[in-house]
Amino acid sequence: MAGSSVEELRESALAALAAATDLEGIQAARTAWLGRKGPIVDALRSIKDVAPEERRSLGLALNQLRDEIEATLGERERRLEEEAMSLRLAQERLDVTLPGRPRAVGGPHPLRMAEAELVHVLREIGFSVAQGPEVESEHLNFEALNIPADHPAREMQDTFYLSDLPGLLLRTHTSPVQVRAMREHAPNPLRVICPGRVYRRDDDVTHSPVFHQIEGLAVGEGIGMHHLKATLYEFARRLFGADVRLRLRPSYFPFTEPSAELDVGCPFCGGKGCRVCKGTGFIEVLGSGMVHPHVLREGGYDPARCTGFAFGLGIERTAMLHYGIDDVRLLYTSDLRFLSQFQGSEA
Amino acid sequence: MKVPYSWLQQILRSLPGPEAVAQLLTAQGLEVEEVSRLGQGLAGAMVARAEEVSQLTPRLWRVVLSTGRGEAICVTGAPNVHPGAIVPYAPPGSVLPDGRTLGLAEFHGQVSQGMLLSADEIGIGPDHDGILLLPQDAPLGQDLTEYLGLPEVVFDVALTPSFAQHCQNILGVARELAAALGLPLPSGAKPWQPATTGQVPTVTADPSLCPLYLGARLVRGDERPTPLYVQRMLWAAGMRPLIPVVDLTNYVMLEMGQPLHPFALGRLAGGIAVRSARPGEEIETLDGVVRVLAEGDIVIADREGPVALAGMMGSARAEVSADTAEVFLEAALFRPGAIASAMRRLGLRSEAAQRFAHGLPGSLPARAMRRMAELLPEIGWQMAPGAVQAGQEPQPPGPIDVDPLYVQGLLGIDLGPEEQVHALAMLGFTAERKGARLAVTPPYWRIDVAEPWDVAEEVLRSVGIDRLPETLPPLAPRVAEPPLYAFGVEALAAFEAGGYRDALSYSLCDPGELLLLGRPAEVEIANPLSGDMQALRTTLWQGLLQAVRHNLARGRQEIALCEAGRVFHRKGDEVAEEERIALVLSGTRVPFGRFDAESVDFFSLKGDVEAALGRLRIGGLSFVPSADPALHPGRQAEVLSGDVKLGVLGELHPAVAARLDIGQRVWLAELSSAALLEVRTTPQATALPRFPALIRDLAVVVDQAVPYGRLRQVLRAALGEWLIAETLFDVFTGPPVPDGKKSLALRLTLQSAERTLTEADAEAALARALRALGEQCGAQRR
Ligand SMILES: [Zn+2]
Repeated sequence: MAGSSVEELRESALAALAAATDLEGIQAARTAWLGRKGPIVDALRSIKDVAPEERRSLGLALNQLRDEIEATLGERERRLEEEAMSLRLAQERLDVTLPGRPRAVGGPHPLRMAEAELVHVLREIGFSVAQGPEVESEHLNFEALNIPADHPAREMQDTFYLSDLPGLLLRTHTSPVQVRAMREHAPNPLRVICPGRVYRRDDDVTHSPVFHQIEGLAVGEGIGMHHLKATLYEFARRLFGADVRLRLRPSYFPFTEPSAELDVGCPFCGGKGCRVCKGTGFIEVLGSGMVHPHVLREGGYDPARCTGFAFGLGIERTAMLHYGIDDVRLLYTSDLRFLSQFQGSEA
Repeated sequence: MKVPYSWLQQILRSLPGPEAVAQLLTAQGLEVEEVSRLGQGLAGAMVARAEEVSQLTPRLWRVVLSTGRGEAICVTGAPNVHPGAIVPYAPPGSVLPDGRTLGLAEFHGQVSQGMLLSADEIGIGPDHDGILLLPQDAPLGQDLTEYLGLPEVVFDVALTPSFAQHCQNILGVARELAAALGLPLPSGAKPWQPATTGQVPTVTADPSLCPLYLGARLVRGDERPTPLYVQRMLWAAGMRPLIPVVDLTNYVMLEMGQPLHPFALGRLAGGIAVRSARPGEEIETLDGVVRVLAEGDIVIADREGPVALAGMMGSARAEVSADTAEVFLEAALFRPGAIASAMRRLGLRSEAAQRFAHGLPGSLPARAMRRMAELLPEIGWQMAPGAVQAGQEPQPPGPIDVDPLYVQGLLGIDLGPEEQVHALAMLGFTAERKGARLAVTPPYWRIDVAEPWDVAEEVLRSVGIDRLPETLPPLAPRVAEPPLYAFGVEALAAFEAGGYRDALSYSLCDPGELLLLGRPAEVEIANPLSGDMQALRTTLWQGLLQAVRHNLARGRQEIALCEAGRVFHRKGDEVAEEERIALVLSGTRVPFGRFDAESVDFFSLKGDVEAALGRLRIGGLSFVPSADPALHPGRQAEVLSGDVKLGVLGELHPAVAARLDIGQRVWLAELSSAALLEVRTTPQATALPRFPALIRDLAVVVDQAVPYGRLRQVLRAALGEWLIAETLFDVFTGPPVPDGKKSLALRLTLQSAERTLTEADAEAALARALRALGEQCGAQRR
C-alpha cells in the first residue's frame, strides 16, 4: 500500500466519521474503523507485503491516521456527552421554593425546657438533683419547716388533703425534699436541688393548682449569707446574662431566717418601669434565706455547728418570663398550636 | 397595705422624694408593690362656698356659689349641699383626673358652669354618694390641689407575716423608714394612766382569750366634723369617713396598729363579758351577715347576748350612729390564734382581725387610749375620767443572749460587737455588752424578736443587705442523683425525636374518667377545687385523652403527644408514686399537603415505641396480646423486654372513645420508667461480619390464627445464629390462598461468622426452617 492509498483511506474515514452524530454512531464508527476487522488494522497487518524500505513510513502514516480518527471520535464524544449533561441538568431543574417533605416534629414542653436550663445551670455550680414524693406527710410539709398549725403561712399556702389518709397531703412546695435530703446525708456537707410538682388550692391567670418549683439547699460548717448571695448572683447571671441587674431584698419565709428575695431588672422595660413590673423596674424571681435552726435540727444537723442556705423558685414563672407566656393555664392544656411555637413548625 | 407618703412626712418631717422612699422601704423588707398618685391630673378646681341651694327637679339642685372672686351657678345631683357648705368646684376649663375637661352644660333649662366634685371625682376616695364637704375654714378661691395636697402619693406595701406584726400601721412603717434614713425613731403615744373610777360598765374577761381589756367612756360635746387630714388619710388607706368618733378610732388604728371598738353606750345592757362563743351561738355583724359561731370564737357580750365578734366586727345593736352622745371605747388584746382561725373559718378579713391575728405589743392598748384622748377634742368630744381594766398587761421576756460571732458567721459580714450594738440601736433595740456576748432587748413594738437568729436578721436589715459580700461557698463533694430523674429526661427526648410533642397535664383529675379507663382512682382529695380535680391520676392516659379532645375541637388532626409524670396508687395507709411515660397518637402524621398525609395505625405506634426504645438502648422486645379494658380487645399488646413488663400499647376501645366523645381512632401507650431503666443495657460492640451474606426469600401458608410472632420464634430457633435478619415483606389473604389461611413472605439474611456459606448450606437451612414451621405451626411452603 502506498502513501496515496493512506490518504484515500483517510478521506473516506473522515467522510464516514462526519456522518456519526450520536454516541451510537460514534461507537459504530470506532468499531468499523479502529476495530480488529477495520481497514487500519488490515492495512497494518498487510504491511509485511510492502517493500521493506516503505514499511516504516507506511506504518508511521497508518498509526497517525489511527490517532487522528481516535482523537476526532473522542472529541466528538466529549462534546455529545457535555450536551447530554447540560440537557439533563436543564430538564432536571427544580422549583426549590416548593415545600419540603413534612416530617412530624416533636420536642420538649416549654416548662421542661425551663426546668432543664435551671437544672443545668445549678448542676454546673455544684448542686445535685434530689427527689421526693408529691404526696407528703403534714409534718415534713409544715412542722419540719417551722410552720406550726396556727402559723399564718399555712393560710398563704392553701393545701389539698387526702380522703381517709390522715396526716398526708399534696406537698405545697418542694421544701420537704430539703429535709429528706438532709436526713439522708447528715452530717456531711450537702448541695442539692429539688425540682418537682407542687399543689395549691388556687386557680386563676397566674396560679395553677398544680405547678412546679425548684428548690436549692446548701448545708455545711461555716456557710453564711454571703455564700447565698454569691450563689444566687452566679445563678442569675448564668440564667439571665452577665450584665443583668440584680437586687437582694429582705423578705420572710418561715423556714429561713434571715430571708431575702432576689429581683432581676425587668426585661420588658429595661428598668424604666412598666405594667409587668408594676412600675418598680424589677421582677421577683426567687425566695431564699439562711436555713432556720429548727429546720436544720429536723434534718439531723446540729445548728450550733452547721448552717445552711436555701432558695426556691417557680418553674412556671421562669418559663413565662423566658418565653413571654402570659397565662399559666396555657402550659397545661397541651394545645398543639401553643406547643408548636417552641420547636420548628410542621409545614 | 396602703401607706400615704404625706402621713410618713407628717411623722418624720423631712423626707426624700416618693421614689427614693419606695426604694428605701423595699430595701428594708417592706416591698413597695405599687406607687399610685391619687388626684393626679386634677387642674383648675378650687374651693367655693354654696350661697343658695334651690331644687330644680326631684333629683337636681341649683347651687349659687361664691368663689371669693365672683359668683357661679352649678347644677348638682347630690343632695348633701346646703347653703354655707364649703365645696370643691371645677369651673369650665378645669380638668378631672379621669381626663375630662369641663365646659358648660344645660340641665332642665339651667346652664351649669362646670360642676361640684365628689371625693371619687377628685380621685382621692371611693365615696361618690355626695359632694365632698370641706372644712369651714377652707380659703375660698384656693386651688383645690394645693388645698388638699394633691396628688396624694400612696405606696402599696406587701407585708410579709414578719412585718404584719409591727408594720401593719403607719408608725411602724415610719420607724423602718427612719432607721433607713438614720433619723430618730418615732416612739408613738406614751401609755395612758387613767383614774380607775368612773361611770364605766364593768368588764370580766377570760384571760386565755383576752389577756387585757381596757374600756373608757367618751362624751360628746359640741361636735365638729372629722378633720380634713384624718379624712384624707382614711381615703388614702381605702377606708371611708363615716362618723367623727368612728373615723378617729380608724385613724388611730391605721396610725398605731391598735384596733379600737366604739360601742354606743346607751345601747349596752349592763356589764360586759369577754368570753368564748357557745357552739351555734349567732351574731349579726355590721355587714348584715348572720354568723354562726363556734367554741373558741371570742365574743363581747352584755346581758342580752353578743354585741360584737371580738377583734373582728361589731353588731348593729350597739353600733355608733350620728346621734350617739356617749361611747364605750374598747382597747384590748385578743389571742391571735383564736382571731386567725375565726377569720379563716368565717371568711371575715376585717382590718381589725388582720391586725389582732398577728399579735400586738402588750402596752399598745394603753398607748392607743392615750392617743384617742389627745385627738378627741378635735371633734368636740372628751374622754371622761375613769376607766375599766380586765386582765394585766403582758410583760416582755428578758433580754436575748446573743454571741456576736454567731451573727457575724451567719451573715458573712465582718461586723464587730460595737457595730452590731449600733446597728441594733438604729432599729430601737438596746444591746448591752456582757463580756464577749450581747444582751439584746427589743423595743416595745417588737414582740416577734426572741432568738439569736431573729437578732441576726435585724442586724442585717439595719446595716443593709447590700453590705453582704459576694463569696462563693466552699466546694463540697456532689452527692449521687436518683438515676430516674436524668433517665426521665432522656426517655422523653427519645420519643420527642420520633415526632412526639411533650405534654403536661394536671395530676388531679375526674375519678369517673379513671374508672372509664379501667384504672379506678385509689387516692382522692378531701377538699377538691372541683369534681374534675378530685382524684390523683392512676394513668397518664386521662390527661392525654383530654389533650386529644382539646386539639380535635380546635381542628387539629395531627396528634402525637408524650407525657412523663407520676401516677398514684394506694398501699394501705400510704401512697405509692410511680413514674410513667405515655404516648397518644391519632389522625395523620403530617397535615394535608402535596405529599401523602400518612395516616397512623397500631403499627405506627408500635414502630414509634420500638424506635424510641432502640434509642434508649432497650432491646429484646416482645409484644404479647393483652387484655387491658381501656383498649380494643383485638388491638393491644403488653410490651416486654425479656421477662420484664414495660407497659402496654394499643387502640383506645371504641366504646370508651365514644364515651369520651372522641370521634376518631386513638392509639395509646403507657410504660413504666423504672422498668425501662431496669432493662436498659450498656451497648457491646461485636466484630463486623467477615464472610458474605446470602439472601433467600421464603413464602409459607399458615392458619390465620397463628401469630407472626410464633412463626418468627420457630424460625429463629431452627436457623440459630446463621439467621442475621428476617424481614416480613408481605402478608396476604384471599384467593388463591385458601379460606382461613394467610400467606406470609419473608426475606432471610443468612451469614456465618466462621466461613462463606454455600448454596448447599442455604438449601439445607431453608429445608430445616420449613420442616420446623410445618411441624410446629402447620405451615406449608407456597
Ligand atoms: Zn418593667
